[in-house]
Amino acid sequence: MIEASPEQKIDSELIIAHKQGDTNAFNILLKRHLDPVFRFLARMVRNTTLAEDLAQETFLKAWKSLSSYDITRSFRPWIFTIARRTALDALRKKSDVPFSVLENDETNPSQEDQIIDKLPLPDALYDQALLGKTIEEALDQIPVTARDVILLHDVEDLTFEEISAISHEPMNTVKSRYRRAVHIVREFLTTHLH
Amino acid sequence: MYTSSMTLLTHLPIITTPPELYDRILSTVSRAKLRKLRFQAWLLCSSALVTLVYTLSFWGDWVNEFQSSEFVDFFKLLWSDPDIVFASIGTFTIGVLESIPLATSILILINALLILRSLILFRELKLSTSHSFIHAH
Repeated sequence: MIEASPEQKIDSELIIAHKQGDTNAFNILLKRHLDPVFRFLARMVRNTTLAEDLAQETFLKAWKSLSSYDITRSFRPWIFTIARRTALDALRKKSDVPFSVLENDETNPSQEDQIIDKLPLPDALYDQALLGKTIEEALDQIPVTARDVILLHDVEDLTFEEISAISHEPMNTVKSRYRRAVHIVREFLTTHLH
Repeated sequence: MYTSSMTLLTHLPIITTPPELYDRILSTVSRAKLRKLRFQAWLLCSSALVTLVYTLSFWGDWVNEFQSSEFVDFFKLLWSDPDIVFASIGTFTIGVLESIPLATSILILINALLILRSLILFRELKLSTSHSFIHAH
């Protein structure tokens, strides 16, 4: 039986190896998850220099907590939980964002049945160069407590269930914030690309 | 005809991770590990020193307790009359166990374990420091 190389091992196997004293295991985990975490942080805080510091802080916190990590949990949502919390703490210190926004995000019960994973947006907006920049500006309009939801779902492919676990919020709240974020993006694009 | 938001966000400009960020994070983790090892080593050495000072300050009392206990007499018997001892090995063993000067033995054991653990930790610290040096250069 051919043993998997360290790079081929799944996250839980690497964490077990780390707990057993394998110093290379954490390096592989870092290499595997650094890009998506950095990307998420850069889009959350809208500053790549700050995102570098936050990525450092995120993985340092992860390393410190790895010895007590529950390997039955999925690593990806866990590292994004740390990244999200680190980003929100940094934004609070900067005081850029009013966190009262969306705190009491009331969901109309009659609309819950209509909540779907992907809401459609107006078509025919494919000027690529303009589109990318405009979408970035649209993301700036989204309150940070909803921005993380749309980034984690639409860019990092996490499910609403995973995002609910990351943010420690009910799934309906997460879906509601997602819908609101998509609405803001749609409104912004409709206004700026016409 | 509509485009999903998920498709739309794929048009976001690509964000590239700085190539040096990986090494920077590893360096940070390495420094944190060294700090943790140094603290553990300091704590362990302090404990070893305290118990050693305590043991040495009452050394005379510990030696007297040990020599006056029946524990030593049992081993003298093993040397002088081994045939008697082996004929009643069960009784001899129970006698030895009952006569162990517990306090002294526990103290010596604690001292030995703390000193051994300190030596292992210092060795680990030395290895980690040299790995960090190699990594940095």
